[in-house]
Amino acid sequence: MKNKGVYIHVPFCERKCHYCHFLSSTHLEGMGDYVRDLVGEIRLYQEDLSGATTLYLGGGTPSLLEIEDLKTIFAALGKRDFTEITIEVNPESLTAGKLEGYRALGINRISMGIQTSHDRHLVTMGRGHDFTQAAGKVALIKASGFENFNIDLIYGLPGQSLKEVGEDLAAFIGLGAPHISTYGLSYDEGTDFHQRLSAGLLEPVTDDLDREMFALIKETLEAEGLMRYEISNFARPGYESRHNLIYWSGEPYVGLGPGAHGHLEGLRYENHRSFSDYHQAVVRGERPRGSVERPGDEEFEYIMLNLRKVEGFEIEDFNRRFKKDFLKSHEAVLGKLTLAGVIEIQGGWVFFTDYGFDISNEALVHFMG
Amino acid sequence: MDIRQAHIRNFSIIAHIDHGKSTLADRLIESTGQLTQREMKEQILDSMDLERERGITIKLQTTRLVYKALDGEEYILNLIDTPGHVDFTYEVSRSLAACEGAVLVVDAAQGVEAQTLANVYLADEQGLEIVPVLNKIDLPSARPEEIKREIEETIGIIAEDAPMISAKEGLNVRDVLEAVVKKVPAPTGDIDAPLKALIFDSFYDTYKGAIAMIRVLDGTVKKGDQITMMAQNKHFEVAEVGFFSPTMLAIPQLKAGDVGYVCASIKNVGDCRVGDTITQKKNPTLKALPGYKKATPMVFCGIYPADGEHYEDIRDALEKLQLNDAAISFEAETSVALGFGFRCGFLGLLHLEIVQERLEREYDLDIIATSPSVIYRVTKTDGEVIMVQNPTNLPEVTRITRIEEPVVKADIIVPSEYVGNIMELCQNRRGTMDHMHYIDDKRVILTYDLPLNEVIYDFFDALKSKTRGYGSLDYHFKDYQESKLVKLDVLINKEVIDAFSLIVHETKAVARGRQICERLKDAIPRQMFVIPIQAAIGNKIVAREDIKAMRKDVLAKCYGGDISRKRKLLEKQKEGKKKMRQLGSVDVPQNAFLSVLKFDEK
Repeated sequence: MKNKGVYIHVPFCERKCHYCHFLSSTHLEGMGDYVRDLVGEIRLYQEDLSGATTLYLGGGTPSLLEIEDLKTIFAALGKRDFTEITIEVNPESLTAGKLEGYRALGINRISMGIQTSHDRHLVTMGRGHDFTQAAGKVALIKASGFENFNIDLIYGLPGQSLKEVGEDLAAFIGLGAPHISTYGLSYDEGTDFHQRLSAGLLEPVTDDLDREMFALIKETLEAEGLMRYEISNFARPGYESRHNLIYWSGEPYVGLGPGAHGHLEGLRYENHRSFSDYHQAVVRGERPRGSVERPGDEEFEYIMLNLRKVEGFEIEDFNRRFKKDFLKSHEAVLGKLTLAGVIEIQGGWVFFTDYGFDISNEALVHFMG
Repeated sequence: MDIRQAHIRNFSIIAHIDHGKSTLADRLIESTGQLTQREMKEQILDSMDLERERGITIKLQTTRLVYKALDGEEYILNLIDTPGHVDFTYEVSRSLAACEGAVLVVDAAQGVEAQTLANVYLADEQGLEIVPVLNKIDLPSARPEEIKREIEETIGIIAEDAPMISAKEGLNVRDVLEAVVKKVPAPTGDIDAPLKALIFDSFYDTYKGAIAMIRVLDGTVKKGDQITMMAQNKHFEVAEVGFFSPTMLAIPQLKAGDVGYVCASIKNVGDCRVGDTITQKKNPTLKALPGYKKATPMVFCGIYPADGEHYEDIRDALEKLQLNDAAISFEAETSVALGFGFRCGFLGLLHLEIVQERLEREYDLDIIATSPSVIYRVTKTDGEVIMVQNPTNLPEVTRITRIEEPVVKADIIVPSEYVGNIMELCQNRRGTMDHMHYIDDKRVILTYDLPLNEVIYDFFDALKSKTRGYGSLDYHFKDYQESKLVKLDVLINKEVIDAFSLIVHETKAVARGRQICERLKDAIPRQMFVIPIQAAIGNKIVAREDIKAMRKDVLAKCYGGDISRKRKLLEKQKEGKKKMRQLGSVDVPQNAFLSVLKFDEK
């Protein structure tokens, strides 16, 4: 296989956003121990790291790491031929000094969560910045010579109107990012938003409005030359995230750090989510995995992942991989889904229509054995 | 009369539902001192757990009580349980056939209700001594003196010295036992005559086979005897005889006048028919007992496995249920929509609901029941007369000369302020009033002729709802009457779904079609395409609702490569889908079938 990713989870935040369900701690005093353990874990993966093509530092808030910490981590990773190195940042912790440090380390892609241009929604979400501050940091990113960067947009916020999404789009386009990730808000269990929703304190947008918002996003961004290439990602041609494409193509990636997910030698694993379990495993010289599983149905996983991409997958590739005739083995499902306008088969490729993406869960269930 | 039989009393307890029949039965068992309250609970629970492990259920149906009366003598009281509902008059009558007397429990606050009357009529037909008892006298709203008069006036039995009790509080329960001893006649069988015993109930035990509950009229039966089931003309060797107290207790023999059970390694449940007569093979009685009229099912519906795979399990369960509920009938049928299943006959809608519930609870089966139907008598243009109980089998309109439907006579007792509501309800249900009679200044008995197909949907729910729960109902078959009936089909995504078809009066068809479409619209989740739900009479569409296409079902984030989370979410979704039934290309949840049957205020 030609591609291999490395994902490092940095599970620390100054504050927890109200909608976020990812593993993250606000006890920043633990970062020193974390860096030491992470370095220990990296040593256990030296062989797997060879041939890695992308590196992604996600979180949490990786921009909370000092440049010195990053140097330590990069030193442990060793000399690799990464073609893309991304770091997630938030507007509060990003400084010109850090950006300079990133460049020196070879980081060539920045991803910043801004979410919305409306300060009142930023407050509801528990973000620690306003839009002006975020826009200022984007200018700083560009001024520091990073032309490859992403900003995140979240839509379907409680009480949000279609007009507001239009305003967000205008504001985000004005920032000149060549890549925009858009996420429909979900109320995940264990989050503050989920609790407030259950208590009737938040009013979610209707499914209809949610889809209208997304339709507006797609139309507006594509008119600006930011093309949808994945279910929730838009980019100018050439700026697609290589690292994320590894996930969606079913290619291998090493996951490092507490709660990180990895995919190696056909196995999917999740690291310990508990910091102390993670620490103890690393100290014992064991890979700190909390769970490992072999996907029972590789065919389904292939379909599920590849159909996230707008281009879908090539039928020939499926047939080679699984030694069967996709069109024949899935005849009934394909008939139903094409009739309903959910998927299309064209030029030897299978892919979701726009409507297919809107209801992709329901559509995918049809492919399950 | 021999001294042994003079000390036996065989009796049942009859009552309107909720008047306290079961509570009184429990108190009688307790107060005869065999078991303390705690022991009783434990013992009965234990036995039920055991039965559950073996996959059968024995209700506490018949119990032998030993009671030392005030006259100083010890009596054996055989309490034979009866089912408590309007649909089960047949079963009540078969229990009563094993008795000489019946304790009639009447709620001292509510008074005589429709099933009180119905049960009294049954007991009367059997020539039983009726012992009235006023229960719930501890309630502040109890008015025992008035109710006594009511019993005397509406039923015509003397209630002056009826025991006044509270079964719940255990108050004056001994008075009931005394009344049974004094008033219920002792059995008078001939112990030396050839064996003649009535099977009044039966059930299945995995280890012992089919077990017959019997009342010995003449003669004796013991272990080792060769017996004959007279109707089946089949022979068996008795393995064990005994009685319930309240669990099974083996004894050497059962004699004339006794009530008990017989095990004879009967493998085939069909060989142990309720109503049959047991006699000795060697010295048989000349004439069998009249037995029972076979119960006639009046309400039918299709029962199908929810997932299509458990067809055989449903057959097994129905066979076992049929053993102690002979009124259930069933035969295999096939539905285009639902595949293989059974068309089952029931005594009434509640019987149907109880059987469905038992299939689900006791046999752990997921089932789909189709719309209930009655039996229509259809005269075809070629002169042939056919009985149709599955709407799918109704001939084409052009080949029908006339359709007749079963009509029942219904007694409805309601507090007088609700008379208007009930008259309106009955009129809406095409009822014709026969007469109306004031029991006292507060309560009225209304007698209506009602088409059975109007009663089986939700009449009982409607009656309860329109009388704040105070109305009571009893009905029995009257005759067949010609009627303008049509077949209403339901189409989902343009395909007729036979499981939803029903026969309705033409004046009701459009409204009912509209209602079904609305309910299915709510019950069926949105799918990937627009789904039209239509109701049609012949080729004419009379109602339509559209289920809009699904708008959104997407979870588009996948940070950090957490693929498993997404896959698990989809697996869960798949499980939910599996619980639905595929009708054509549409997934229909089980509750959609139920939703079209429910009562609605509108």
